Amino acid sequence: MSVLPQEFEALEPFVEKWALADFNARLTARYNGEMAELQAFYDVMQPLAEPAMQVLEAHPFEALPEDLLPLFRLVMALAHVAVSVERQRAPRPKSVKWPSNLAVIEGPSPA
Amino acid sequence: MISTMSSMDQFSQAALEPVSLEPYRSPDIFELERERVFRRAWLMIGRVEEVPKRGDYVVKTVEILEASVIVVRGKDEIVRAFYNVCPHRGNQVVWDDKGSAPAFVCRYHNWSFSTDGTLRGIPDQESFPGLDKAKCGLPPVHLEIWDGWIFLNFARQPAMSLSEFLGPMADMFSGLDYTHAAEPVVIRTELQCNWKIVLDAFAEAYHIPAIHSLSLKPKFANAENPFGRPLHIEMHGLHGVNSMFGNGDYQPQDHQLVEQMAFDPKHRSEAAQAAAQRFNLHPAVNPTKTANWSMDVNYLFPNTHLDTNPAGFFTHQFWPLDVNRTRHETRFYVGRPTNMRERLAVEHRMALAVDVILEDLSNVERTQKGINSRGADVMNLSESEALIRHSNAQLSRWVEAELSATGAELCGGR
Repeated sequence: MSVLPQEFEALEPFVEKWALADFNARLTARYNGEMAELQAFYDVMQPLAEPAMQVLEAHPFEALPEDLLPLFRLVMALAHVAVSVERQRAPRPKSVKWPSNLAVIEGPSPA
Repeated sequence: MISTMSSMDQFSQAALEPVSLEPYRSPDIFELERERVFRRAWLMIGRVEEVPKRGDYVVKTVEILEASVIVVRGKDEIVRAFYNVCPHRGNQVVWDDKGSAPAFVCRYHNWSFSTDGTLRGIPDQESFPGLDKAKCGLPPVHLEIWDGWIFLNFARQPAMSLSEFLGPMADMFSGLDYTHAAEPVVIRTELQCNWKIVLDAFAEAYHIPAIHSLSLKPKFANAENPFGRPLHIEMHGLHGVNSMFGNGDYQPQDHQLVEQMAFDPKHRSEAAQAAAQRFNLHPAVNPTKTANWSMDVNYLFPNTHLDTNPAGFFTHQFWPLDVNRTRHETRFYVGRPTNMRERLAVEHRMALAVDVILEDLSNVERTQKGINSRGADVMNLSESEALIRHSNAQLSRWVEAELSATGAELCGGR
């Protein structure tokens, strides 16, 4: 079953992995990911980011309709994956010890 | 060479002596830090926005003093702090991290306390003949507030007031508009290293081109200043400022398409842009008012950085757990986004911030291992690392000062 507006159907295969509930989940998915899967999501998502923002911005920011949550979460995941693709050229910085006990105990809101 | 600080202006040769590594590994010095530093310094513990309404409370832990503290806004709007301990049998009264309550009730035997700490009720009070109820309130901890920042002092009788302790820093930062002080993004990590190794890791920019070559270097160094030498370092009493060079022309590169979206200042609301502009005009923010500026590290003795950058302020705190264990907490006061573009910018900025923090924090445990090997006994610091020299000097003065030392003795000398 489709959970995204029709014009974003190319993103359906990424919903399960990347439409995640909060910052911590997105961070963990990115850090645990393989570069090939991060790149695959980025390549499809990045060109759709601007159209997605326009769909999301058509609604009051604090009252996003429930059925747009998956699209919102994919845009948030792109922010993370872009750091890997555009900056680090690796899922996580090469020098970091991972896993880590780092926890975002209060994340950006709305989640 | 660009016009960053010149060595001869600010440093005599004596100030370039190597600095001992012993305080980073010695259990004996750690014990002295417990009693002579953390039990008598004013410790920044939070902000008043954490307890906005009457009856709101937060519980703070200071592990090195084995203290759990209730910070609560009373019915009279006064913010107070109490040891989280019941005067009846010593049980902890509050068990959650935060909340709001008209009164506190110790669940062991239902003794109850007002939000101003006074004892309200004792079940079967007749069975305590002669009990002085006035002496059975929640035990207070000294609390003072400076521009919304809450400080605690665990000495029975503090050797100095908060104002005396902050010295010139209080005036310098006076009036700074701490916008978005509520709802910070909070990142916590527990590390296997001495707290000062983490403190030092965030005190200088010399490490940035090396360890943050992809995450931060583009913003903190350029061809003109490849090692990110500081704009200005100045000590203020116990505390100090390291104003860091930045690449004022920084723009995301052509291939960084998502970063361009997140970075675009047009996407900030007008209110957010205006607040940032006001913030940047304050004399303590970017004190040399240099276009090529990235951020200021403002060290508040003993364990806090109150940092500023063009987007606002954030804090690092370094809480000792043991000689080789530390709780590190960063609070980014990014503000609650008001539109989708700001929301994207915050997510991207925090995703990158986690990379930077983990790059630093992965390194501190390696440093501890190196220091513990006793292959080296001193560190050789550059001028760019002067804040580390300063914090070491101040800490060693306090560690050496007897418990009878006066506030003037502790705060005065350099």
